[in-house]
Amino acid sequence: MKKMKISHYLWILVFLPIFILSGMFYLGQSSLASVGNFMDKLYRHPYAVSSSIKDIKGGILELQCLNLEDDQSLLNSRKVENIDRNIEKSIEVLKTSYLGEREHVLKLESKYKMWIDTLFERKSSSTDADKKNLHYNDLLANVESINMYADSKGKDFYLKASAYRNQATSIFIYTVIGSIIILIFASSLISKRLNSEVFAIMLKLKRGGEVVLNESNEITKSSKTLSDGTNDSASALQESASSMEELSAMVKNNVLQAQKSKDLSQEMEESAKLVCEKTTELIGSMDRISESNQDIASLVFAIEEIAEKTKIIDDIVFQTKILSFNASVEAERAGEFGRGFSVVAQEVSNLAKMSGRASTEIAVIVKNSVKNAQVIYESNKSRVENGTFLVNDTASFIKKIEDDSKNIRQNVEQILSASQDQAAGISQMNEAISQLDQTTQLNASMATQSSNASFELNQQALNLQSIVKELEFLVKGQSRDQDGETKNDQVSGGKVLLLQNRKNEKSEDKRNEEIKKIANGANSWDKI
Amino acid sequence: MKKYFVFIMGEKRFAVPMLEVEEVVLPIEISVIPEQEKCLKGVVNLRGEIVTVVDIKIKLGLGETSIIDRKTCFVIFNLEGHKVAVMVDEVEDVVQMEETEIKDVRDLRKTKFVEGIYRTKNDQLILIANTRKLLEIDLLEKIRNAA
Repeated sequence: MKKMKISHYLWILVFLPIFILSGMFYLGQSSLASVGNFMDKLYRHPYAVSSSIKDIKGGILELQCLNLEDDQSLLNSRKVENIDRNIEKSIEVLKTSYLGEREHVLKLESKYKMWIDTLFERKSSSTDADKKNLHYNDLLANVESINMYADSKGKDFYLKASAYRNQATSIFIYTVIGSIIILIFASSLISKRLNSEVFAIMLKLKRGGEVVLNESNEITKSSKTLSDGTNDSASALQESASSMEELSAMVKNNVLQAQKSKDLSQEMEESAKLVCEKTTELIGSMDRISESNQDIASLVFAIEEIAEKTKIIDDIVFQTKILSFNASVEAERAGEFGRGFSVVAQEVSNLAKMSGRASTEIAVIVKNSVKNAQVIYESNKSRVENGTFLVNDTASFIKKIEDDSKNIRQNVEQILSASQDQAAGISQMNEAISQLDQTTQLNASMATQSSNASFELNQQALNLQSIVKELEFLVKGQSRDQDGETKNDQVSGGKVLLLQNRKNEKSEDKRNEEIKKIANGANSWDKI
Repeated sequence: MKKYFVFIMGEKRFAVPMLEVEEVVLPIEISVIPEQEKCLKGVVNLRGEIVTVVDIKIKLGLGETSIIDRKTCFVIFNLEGHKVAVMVDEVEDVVQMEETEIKDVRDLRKTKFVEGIYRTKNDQLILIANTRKLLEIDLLEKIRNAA
């Protein structure tokens, strides 16, 4: 009987007793039928007889009582009719149910009728009364004999029924014993078969459970690794995000600085322009200074004209001197007569000298003035030249500054736009990193979930192991096992399944070591 | 008390007696006559009169006559009938000198024509010149006589 379904076994277990029972039933059925038959007969006949007899008896007695009361009205009442009717009914019943000879019943009937007739006769005499009594007693005796017969029949039936009952009982007992034995035998066979099947399945479950445990440990390990890795990447992302923020802040700062620089350079440009304008104004004023210098020159020229005129005066003075000399000479020549003239000449000479002195002074003043004016002019001129030179230098420098600041401004504008692009790019990168961060956090949470799930799986695998162990106990019992496993295998909820000295294959040991490690690692999950 | 005519030559003051000076004129164009004698410069046309020009600078050791200055004048001397024009740097003054105040230096210095030295009130030194020697009258006489 290989590979039969459990349901088949169960059918067998069920139908076997059913068969037995039905056989038993069948066997007993007949006895019971007989018993029932007898019972029926008992009911139909002896019982029915008894009850009819009882009714008859009761009715007769009642009539007798009525009769004895000797009340004529009563005798004609409906009650008597009823009783009579009842008695007659009972007699009919008796007829059908009496098992003895029918004649007895007929006899009874006739006797009754006789009595009843006598009862209703109005003639009341003592002989009639004795007759009535005789009839009555005879009737009663008949009734009794019928009753007794019925009783004995009933007993007879009872005995027969008992015999049949006993028969049925013995049949039952034998059948039960037999079926018990058969059942024990069959059930042991079946249970053995089931056991072996269950054992095989349990072994498979056990192996499978171990595999699941291993795999769940592996999953635990890898999800821990994943979780660690994800945490690492999350922290790295955090760092990236923070450095991105720093970078973003720096770039924002750059943008700000570039903006400031741009503004500054614009200001500088404008200032340079202003300076240029001012320089132009300065040049203009210097030109005006030059012009005024020219005026000074013309002043000098005027002074020189004065000097010229003074020269003329000098000439005049000189000639006057000469004249006075000549006059003196002539006066000297004239001798006595020239004395007055000599005085005049002397005075003229004096005048000439005075004029000469004045003229000389004027000349000196003029010379000094001219010299000063010249000096001023020259210094002005040189200053103006210097100034112009400086201003031109400055102007050229300013122009250069202006150009440079323009360049700077352009460069700064470029920097600004580049920085703004940078900022945009960085904000995009920020977004990307935050997305990445979210994803990584999601990953981390999922890794945590998966590690939790794997822990649960681990737990469930351990549970499975323990259940399988229970099943094993169920199948094998708790002491020794067929596979030579030691007693020390302990499984309790949450503790690690220590697989020791299973089979002495190295791979098994290695696997055990691994599992131990993983289990120990899994233990640390308790702290999480 | 004699009146002397003071003129400046080469920044030295010279004085000559007034009587020897006839006229002082402004510079006139010299018509150069090549002469063997270097001191005879040429002649000038003084109001139609031809007057010999003598360069006394050589005599004074002052080199040739320099460029005519604004104050340059011709002093016309008339000595012993000789009219000589002398170019002087400047005509200064007429000074009255006492004979006693003039220091005689003829023997002190072996100059050809300085006769004396006069100290003015302003502590200026005026060299009294011997006109005759100064003006080379001898030479002129020789020339006249030769001609």
